[in-house]
Amino acid sequence: MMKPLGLGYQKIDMCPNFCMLYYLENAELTKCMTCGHSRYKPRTRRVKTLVAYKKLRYFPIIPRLQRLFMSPRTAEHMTWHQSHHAVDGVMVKPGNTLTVCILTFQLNQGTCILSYVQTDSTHSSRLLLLILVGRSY
Amino acid sequence: MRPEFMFLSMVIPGPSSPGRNIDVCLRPLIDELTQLWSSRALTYDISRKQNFVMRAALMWTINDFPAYGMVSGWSTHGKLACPYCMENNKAFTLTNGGKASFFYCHRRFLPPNHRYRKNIKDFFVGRVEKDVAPPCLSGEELLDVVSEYGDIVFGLQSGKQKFPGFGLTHN
Repeated sequence: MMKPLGLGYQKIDMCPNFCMLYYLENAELTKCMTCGHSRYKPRTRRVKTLVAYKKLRYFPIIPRLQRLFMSPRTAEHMTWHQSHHAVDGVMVKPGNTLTVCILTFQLNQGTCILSYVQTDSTHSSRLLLLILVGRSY
Repeated sequence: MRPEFMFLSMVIPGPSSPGRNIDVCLRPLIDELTQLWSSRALTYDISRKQNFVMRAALMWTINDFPAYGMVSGWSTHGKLACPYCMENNKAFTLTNGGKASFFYCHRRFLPPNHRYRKNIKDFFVGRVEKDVAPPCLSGEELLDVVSEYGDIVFGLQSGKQKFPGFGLTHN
């Protein structure tokens, strides 16, 4: 569904023992540099193409962030912290809390928050990275 | 945190957990984040109808305790489980269970004249807590400590790699 929108994902082959990624400078290798495990499954009579043992799916974040600024509705939300001003006497969510203040000082412009999630089937561990994005013209 | 505010960034295949080797998998993400911070990305903002240079920084990670061990590299098991106190913690082994226990280690974080510090009845019987909280390392100090260990091996050998001071000053 995301591919026609230009927000596809990269498939990066990796060593099944988590030694290395076949990525950038190592993209052409066929054996793991650390453990020597083969990158591809052996060809059989039925499967004649090369199939990697393990593939990492990576969704690049730069095009996604750029895409958030392309829609008028979301672009307004992305610059909320910069454009939002509290009115005296009205109880509203503060646009400039302490944390945001420090970072907007460093980044010089408005902010937005995005997150990163990884779920692990065996231990049900959840991991979430929050990324604060600033703008500087 | 509602689903529309989440970005799926990566799908790491199984069947086993990557454990400490998650650093290998996170490399494309880290590369892109360093690019966003140092070389930046030109972006078009439709609400202002102009281009601007976008920069991004990683603020924090939110994870449960086992995943914390995977991301930080500091094992969250056993006597040295606490990633803040590190080797300065006051964990002890239970006599009958044989497990590490962190009960009442929080007393050292109290103010120096707190009445719980002098309470010898309800915590450790007969022990007055006199220690202050362990020092909090800054980013540069932590980098100095980590850079002494040299190259880190990933993959099958990662569990067998031992550095001097294992189990005493780090895990």
